[in-house]
Amino acid sequence: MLANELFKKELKVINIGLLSFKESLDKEGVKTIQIDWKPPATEDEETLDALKKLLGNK
Amino acid sequence: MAVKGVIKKGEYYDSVSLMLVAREATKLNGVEDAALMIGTKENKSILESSGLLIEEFKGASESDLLIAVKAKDELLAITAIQKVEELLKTKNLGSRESEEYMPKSLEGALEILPDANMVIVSVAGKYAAREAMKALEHGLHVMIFSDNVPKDKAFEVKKYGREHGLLVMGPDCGTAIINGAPLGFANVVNRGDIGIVSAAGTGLQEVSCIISNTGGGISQGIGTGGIDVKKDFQGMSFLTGLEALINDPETKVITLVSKPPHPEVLEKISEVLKKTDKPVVAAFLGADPELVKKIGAIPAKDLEHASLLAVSISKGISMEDFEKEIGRKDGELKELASQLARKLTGEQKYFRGLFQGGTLVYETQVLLKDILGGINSNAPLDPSLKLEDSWKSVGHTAVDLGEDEFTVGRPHPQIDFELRNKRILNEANDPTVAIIYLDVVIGYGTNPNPAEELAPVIKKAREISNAIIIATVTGTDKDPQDKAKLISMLKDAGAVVFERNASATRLAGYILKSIGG
Amino acid sequence: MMQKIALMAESFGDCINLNSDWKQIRIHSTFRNVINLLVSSQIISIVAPAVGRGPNNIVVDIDDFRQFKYINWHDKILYLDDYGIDFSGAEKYDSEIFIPSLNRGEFMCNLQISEKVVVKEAPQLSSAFLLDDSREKFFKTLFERNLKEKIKITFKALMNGYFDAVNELKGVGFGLTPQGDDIINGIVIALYIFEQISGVKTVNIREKFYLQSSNGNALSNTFIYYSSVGRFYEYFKDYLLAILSDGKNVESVTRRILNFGETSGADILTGFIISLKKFLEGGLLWQ
Repeated sequence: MLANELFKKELKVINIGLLSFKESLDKEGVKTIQIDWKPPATEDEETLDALKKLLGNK
Repeated sequence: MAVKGVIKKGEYYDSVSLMLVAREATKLNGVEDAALMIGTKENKSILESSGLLIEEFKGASESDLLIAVKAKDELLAITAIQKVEELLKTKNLGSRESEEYMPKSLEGALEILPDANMVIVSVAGKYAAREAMKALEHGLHVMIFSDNVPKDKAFEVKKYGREHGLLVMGPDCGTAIINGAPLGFANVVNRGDIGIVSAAGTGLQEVSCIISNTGGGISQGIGTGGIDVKKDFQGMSFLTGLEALINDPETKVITLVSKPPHPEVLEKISEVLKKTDKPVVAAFLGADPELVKKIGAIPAKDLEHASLLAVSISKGISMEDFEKEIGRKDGELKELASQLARKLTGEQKYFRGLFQGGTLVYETQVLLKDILGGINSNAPLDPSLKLEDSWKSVGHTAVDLGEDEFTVGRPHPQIDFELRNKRILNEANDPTVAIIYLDVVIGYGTNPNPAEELAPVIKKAREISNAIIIATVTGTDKDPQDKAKLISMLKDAGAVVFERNASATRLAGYILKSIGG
Repeated sequence: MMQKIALMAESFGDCINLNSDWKQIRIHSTFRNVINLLVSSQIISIVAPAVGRGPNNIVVDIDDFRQFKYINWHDKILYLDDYGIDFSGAEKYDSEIFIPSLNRGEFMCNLQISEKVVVKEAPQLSSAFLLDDSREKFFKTLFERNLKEKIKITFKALMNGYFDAVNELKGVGFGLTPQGDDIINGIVIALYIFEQISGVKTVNIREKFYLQSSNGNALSNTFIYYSSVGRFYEYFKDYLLAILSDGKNVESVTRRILNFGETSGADILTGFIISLKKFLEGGLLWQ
């Protein structure tokens, strides 16, 4: 969606991070969803192999 | 056999309570089986295999308590459920506080809000670009509040946005106003026909507030972050924002706000401006007005000037009337300055600005440069004016309290007033200080009670010293803080209060000039 | 400024930063002995002395926390209703553990003793049936049996190296911290201890367990998080030190965990004992 189309629509927000931004938008009546964000997991083929080894499953 | 169930929203019980109650329930007359569990997906599958999953449970979430009973007939089942609820109540075991459901991923959020169109990212800088890119790939516009985003990642994100016509506001974009909604640190302003693109966060707040406070209105306020107009980034977000405003039928006047962009970026802006007849006002603080004219924009001296120009054009007020009004106001300022200056002693000669807003400290330095010849700062216009110790003022000083050195381990000065309050009293104890200058930025994201935080300190400073205290407030009447009350409290405490940084700075300049600053 | 009466904190955990900004604070849940606060997405608990110290616990001697309705953070002071919490006399709790030099025979013996206590004394509907299948008889109704089967199948799968079983195990069970989450917590603690005594790095696996098992349950998330970074609650730290050293109090420290209300203690211990034994059998430790 181009920026100009955004201007014609109702703003609907996904918030990743500071909860206070969602709370502000809630007060202004803007529909907002908060994501329960966590730092991404490590890329982990290796990790899984290590776990299997630990458990004695090759 | 009949199965009945209820959902208790947002009630927490420890597992032993739930087990005990479930056990007691199975002893009730005619009851075959009973379960009390929180509504996780896994628990639902257990309920299902036990024949206890009623239709309503399917939509329940992890913060819901599910109670299910299987009994010989419906009446016995209902009676048992009532008994279970009583047991829970009489034992008063649980807690009623609830948690709202939060999806884990962008995809999860889009399932709940499929027509979302904006993503605000404020996670740690090293992860922010990744989240922003995901949003862009879903065709969503983004505002990246996070700073410290690696430069190459920031570039990739901006480039993607530029190529796909998507807004990438940031990184390090503190403020935006989209479709009337304040994003990040922003004010609640009137809607109208003036569109703003700003590479300066507090600059966007200042301009949108002055416009709104003088009867104008904002169509869109697009932030880009300061790095956008530097050479490496080629104004990618700035240009997308500008084009969007040019193509926006609701925007009649365009206002550009920034520190002077890199010449190559100016050139690109100039190319884009050739495509429009809309009047464009540019406050490129400290830039040569001739250069600004050359790119096809009307140069504004400062943020106040830019705002008033934009409102005049929007309202169809002639330039002559506008200049007359500005002249009259300036006369008033000079008169007030000479009155105030008389109260100072011969020893008092220095300006001490303690700023919350990065753009405002910059603007003040630009405006006072000609009068004072230079101001020491931790964020100086000229590297030779850099304060050796940011915590200690020397001569004329303007400090940006939002710089990293002050914010490590504590909230931004717009939220936490403590540091500045201490510094105000330090300055008041310095007999050579003539003016203590303060900005107060209100709106969403900032301290909810600035008046209570600041007024007592101003009062105390006035008791210690007869230095003039000038305060400028950036905000509107619709902001969550009570602006009118804030201003009256600051005045009662003994400050001279403005709602425009440029006017307030000029007053300071005239005072210093009249005492031979 | 608005402080009326101070509540004296006895201790606070070493993972609590008293100088940080707690603006986004709210009550998550309140019990007689605990108020759980949600600060951003982390839990900080204000607890009675009986609950004990912990990496994210603030210990305050209060009879019943359910009397408090509001939490507030103002001017760097934490308030329960109008009562400010005074940290001036509070001791900082060190949640890390330093493993003494280990005697293999004694350690295995200690683990055995603690397992026996769990099998004998754990609450009926806890996961201790995973240690001893004669306990399966406690699960009577169809629902209880299905719950037990679910835990059994997913746990076995996990122990056979099917990591995705974490997705099926998390969130299984009754209450505030479902049994499945507690079992996972126990496995994560075992991974940490295994690293300490064997030198085999498990940090990535622990992180993966934490990330994979994170769900909407902020309490479980917090417990597993602290375990994954080697931070322990007082009662569990005492337990670990007992089985890793002289073993004098193994029975009593195990019992203390089992008595820790609900089934949580038994579930954590079950996950811990089975997986640690499994890691040790992997043969990597005593070469």
